[in-house]
Amino acid sequence: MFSYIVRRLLYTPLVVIGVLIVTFMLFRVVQGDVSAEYAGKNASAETIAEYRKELGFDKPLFINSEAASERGVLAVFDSQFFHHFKNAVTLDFGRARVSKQKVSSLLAEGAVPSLTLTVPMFLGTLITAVTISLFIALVRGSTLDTSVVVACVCGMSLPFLALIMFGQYFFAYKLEWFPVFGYEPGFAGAKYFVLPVLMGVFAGLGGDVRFYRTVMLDEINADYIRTAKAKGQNTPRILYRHLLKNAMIPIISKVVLAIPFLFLGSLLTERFFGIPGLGYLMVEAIGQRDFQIINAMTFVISVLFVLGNLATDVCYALVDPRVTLN
Amino acid sequence: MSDTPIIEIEDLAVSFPVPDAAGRGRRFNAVQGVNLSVYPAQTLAVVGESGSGKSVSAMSVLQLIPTPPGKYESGKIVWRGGVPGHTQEGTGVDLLTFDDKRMRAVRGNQIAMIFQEPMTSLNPVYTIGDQITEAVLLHQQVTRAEANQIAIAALSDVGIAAPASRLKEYPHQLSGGMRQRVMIAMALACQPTLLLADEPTTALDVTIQAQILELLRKLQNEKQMAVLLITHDLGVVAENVDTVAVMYAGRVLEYASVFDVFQNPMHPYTRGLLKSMPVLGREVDRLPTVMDGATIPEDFPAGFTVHPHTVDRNPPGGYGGPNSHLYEVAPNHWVLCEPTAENKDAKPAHPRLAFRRDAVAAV
Amino acid sequence: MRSRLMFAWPIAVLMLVSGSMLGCSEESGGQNGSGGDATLTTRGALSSKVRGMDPMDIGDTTSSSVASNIFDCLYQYHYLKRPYELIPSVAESMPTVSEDGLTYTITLRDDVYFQDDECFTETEGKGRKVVANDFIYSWKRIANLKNVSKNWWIFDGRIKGFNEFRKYTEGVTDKKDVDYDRPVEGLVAVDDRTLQITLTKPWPQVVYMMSHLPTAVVPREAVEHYGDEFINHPVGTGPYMLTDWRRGSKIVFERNPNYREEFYPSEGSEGDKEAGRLDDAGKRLPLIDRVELLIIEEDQPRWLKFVQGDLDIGGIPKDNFDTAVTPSRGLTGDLREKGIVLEIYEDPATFWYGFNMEEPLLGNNLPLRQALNLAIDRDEYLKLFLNDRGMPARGVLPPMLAGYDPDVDSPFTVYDPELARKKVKEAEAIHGGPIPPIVLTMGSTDSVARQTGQWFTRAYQQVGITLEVDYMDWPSAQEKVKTKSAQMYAMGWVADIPDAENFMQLFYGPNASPGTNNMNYQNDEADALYEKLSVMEESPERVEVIRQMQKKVIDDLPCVFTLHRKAYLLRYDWLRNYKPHVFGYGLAKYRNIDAELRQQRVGR
Repeated sequence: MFSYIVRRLLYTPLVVIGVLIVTFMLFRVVQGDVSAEYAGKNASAETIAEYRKELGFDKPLFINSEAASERGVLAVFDSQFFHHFKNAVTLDFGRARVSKQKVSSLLAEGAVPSLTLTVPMFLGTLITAVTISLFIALVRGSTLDTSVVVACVCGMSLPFLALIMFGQYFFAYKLEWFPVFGYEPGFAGAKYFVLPVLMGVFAGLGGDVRFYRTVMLDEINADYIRTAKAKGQNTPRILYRHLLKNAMIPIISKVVLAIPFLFLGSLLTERFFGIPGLGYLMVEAIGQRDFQIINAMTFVISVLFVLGNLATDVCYALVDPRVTLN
Repeated sequence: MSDTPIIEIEDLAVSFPVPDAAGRGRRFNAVQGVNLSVYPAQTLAVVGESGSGKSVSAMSVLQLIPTPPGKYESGKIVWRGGVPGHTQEGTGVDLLTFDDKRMRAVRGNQIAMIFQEPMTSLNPVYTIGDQITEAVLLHQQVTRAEANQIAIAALSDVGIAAPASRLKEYPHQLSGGMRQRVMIAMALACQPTLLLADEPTTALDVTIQAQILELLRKLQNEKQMAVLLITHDLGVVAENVDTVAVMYAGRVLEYASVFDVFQNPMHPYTRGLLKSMPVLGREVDRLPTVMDGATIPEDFPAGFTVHPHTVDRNPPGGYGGPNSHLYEVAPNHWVLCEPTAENKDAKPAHPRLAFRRDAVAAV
Repeated sequence: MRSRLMFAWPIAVLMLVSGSMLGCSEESGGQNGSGGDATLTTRGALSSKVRGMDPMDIGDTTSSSVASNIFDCLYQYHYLKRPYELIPSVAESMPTVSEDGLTYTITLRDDVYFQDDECFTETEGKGRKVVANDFIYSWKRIANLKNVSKNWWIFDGRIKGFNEFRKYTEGVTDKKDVDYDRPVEGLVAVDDRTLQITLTKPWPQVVYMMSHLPTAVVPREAVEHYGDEFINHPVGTGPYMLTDWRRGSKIVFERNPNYREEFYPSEGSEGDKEAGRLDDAGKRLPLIDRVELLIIEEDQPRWLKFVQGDLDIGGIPKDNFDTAVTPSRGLTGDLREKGIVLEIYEDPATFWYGFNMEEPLLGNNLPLRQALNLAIDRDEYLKLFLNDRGMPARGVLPPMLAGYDPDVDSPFTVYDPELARKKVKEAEAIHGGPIPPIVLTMGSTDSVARQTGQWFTRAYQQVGITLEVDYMDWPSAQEKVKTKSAQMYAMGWVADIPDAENFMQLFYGPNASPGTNNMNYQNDEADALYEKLSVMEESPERVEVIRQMQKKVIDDLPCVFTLHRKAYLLRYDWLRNYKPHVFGYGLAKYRNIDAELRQQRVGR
């Protein structure tokens, strides 16, 4: 397995180059020159030209043969593509269009609060949903099962916004159990995260329980479960030892796919509870056509996806002996 | 050898919901009025086609029917093999009244079960060793190392070579026959008093089938184990079992020793079933169907009427008519029928037959 | 001077602007810092993110209001006097203007120092005195093309030799190589305390520009020391210093110990004395030690924080309006008991739905434009979408500007569906057939935009005009308007300076798209009037010219005028010296906190 991981990691740069080519195509070739847009309304031609220079749109797309003939062979790389490439590899995504802040520091600053919010939210939802679905699978077809499914559908149809507004109003304002709004870095800030995390877990449960319930139902009727029961094994051990490990493949697929999005934060939660994460960064960047940020986020998420896929394969092999890594 | 049955199923009925066309829930009895007994060291074959209620009856013994959707409607399953921490051997208790905790003490311990699909009945993500020792560790006060030794012994009992190295293998690395042996080893590792074997050989080819049945027979003799063998293979029945219960439409139709059933079948269905069996050396254009041979015997004992066989498993009034029960129409021979008007005093009888073929052989 | 161009149906603008307007007036309030600490702290909230704190780069009102705690301009608005009046800030007195109106001579105060900062290496971090050259340097940064400042429009074509300086920077390859010592004819530091500005043509509004935050003074040392990171390390001369800035979350300022001697005004206008706004007269500014601003973009948490007493001042979200304000425009009892006070004031804003006058269907059909105006029930619109926070607009200028004329009512900027239907008939005659559907571009896709779109569609349907609404994101809509490809679109304008020229330039032909005249309105007489008024000193004659020009515009109707807005704001009574100010920035220094009253009210 180790050699497989090493081999896959060696492929990763190739995939990253692929990602770079795609983002380059999207942001440089298809999107084209955004200098005029960046210069803003009422901008003069000079301002636009200045932006063009700053953003590198004055350079040729791939090969700078002109510069090469003037400044030597190496200048052939003084092209949009190679700058795009170099910037990504050195994690230098320039400065944001609107805030003029360094994109890399925006990402670094936002990642911590976002992950502080999304990771507990995600794990909380996962563990609760898996546990509920395991036990629900056990009583499939019963009134309890039906009520849980109905509750899930209701939960899913409840707009997250409404839920957040209610939760904030009721638990934070009316009952004063939690702070309404705020953020502090470090452990001092933990109190600000409790309510948003709980709301996120609650909101995520409906969909997750429904998904995992289906996964569990596929397995609960499996013959090996009956075998385990016939051996005299108790229910929790049947569920957690026998069923869960078999149900891990779809769970892992879902989990690993979700991980890169943890970095995107949680837009509404962050806005309502004042967590300065990445949730709004991407949305705002799209709204403001801040291609510096969009490009950086796309790149980071893509790389996380590549790594996530590797992690998926490794996890598959870890939970299922029938999967071999070759 | 005891002369009381180690287990008796009395008047068992298990229902499942069948949504009708309108989507309304209606319940259907998958088995009804099932009566069976097994004596220590005896093999009872429960014979019948798919859906006749064989497996439901066997699984009810261990309460393995998922409830919901299933439901135990009536009946008792009297167990005399003892329950750890509850009853002594010889005292009868109704397994259907057990809660999950008490049931767990019986499952895999006093009563073990082998399932028909060895491919899927083993957990694909755990090693053979893990799965065998799981039962051992649950029921016996042993260390993991001791459990491993027991597992190795069990594997070796079922004829697996190099058992110690097999322990570390996963089910997908074994052939079908090997997996079935593993299933049996798993069931036998705790030395059960009763083995429920649900078509243990169906998936296997004939030579391996023979080996496995041989093996079961051998182990039964060594350990005085009672076996409830579910099968639809009459050849297997003829050669291996002591008593036979024929089931159809969730009911026991006929119950007798293996010899009585084969030589003197009384229920039309049993007769049809036996006639549909190919006989080695006899050439036929086509095999007769069960229906073809399902005749009512002319010499059916006086005082009882047996209904003709119908393909409809659920005719109005139920299969065999509303008043049909198992009656001992001839000595040690029970048939689903109803007494005639002159024979009103006849009482339905619970089948109990301590017959063992080796005992006959000894005679 | 360009103001805030608002592309929008007013409610969305409300969010945007009230946020930013609140920004400038909302930082406020206060509480006694934690425990027995005697620090006076005021807490406010901003409804949008602060983008950066380099004056050169600031183009939005929120950032302006926040940065104005740190930076000073030459002039500032008098805090209390109405109508609005400029007074000196870093300048010692109002400028001396030459006969021809071209040369402005400004004397600086002798006691203004930059805030202490590590960038002042020569003085070991001690802030140095501000000199005339600092202003020239600061303004040259705006002119430097390499800085791509959004604020160049302030100076473009106005100061002698400044456009040439900009031209020069265009030729410089690297930003670092721009020579800031290169002389500009119209910007001369006669000595350290005397700045002389020479204009290319008379421009009386230049004084207002010298109170506009982008023209604030910044130290060259800091810009060079921090480079691009200057936006995060602002160093100015203002009453407060930035001590903590968690982007997207919180900004904290603390009193600048070296702030010059400036005092709370001892005269105001009517009602100030009675309202206690002169109680602090003559006290040294700033009055509050610490200003904390939370960035809360959503209405609900901002509202809840305010009602909890954690903010000293706040707006009223649309959804909470009916529970907060009674139909008679008073506060509901609950809020009154908490010590909350309602402040209502007029915004210098006008909203309209512009027509692209170069587009033939609308551009060549006056009766159609009249019909489109007549079909709109502005009172209902105000009720439905603004909780009645405003008044119908019958013309260009909002009430508080000189030139506003309630009598220039046109018979076409009122609701009259009968007349509208008649005008549609006339329009059809001109068009030579039924009027094809008109497309309205909406720069938002949210529910309010959609409701507004539906409302307009229905209103026009009633008079026989088909409206199609095209919803898109704001940049796309902006692009459409700029490229003259939108037929009809939602717009608004909020003045930054108390001068009507600010509005009238929107209707000046040469300012057509991509300029600010995005209706591409062109009328030679109106252009002539604009050219006249733009160089006139304030006078009754000028007001007359403004009125004439407005009349032209109203006659031609290049848009559907909809409304002027009123701002509703809440504050706690422990926040003292509060007075709405629609143009000024950096007002936190005037505010005071009654810590005892606050303690009594919320126990904190």
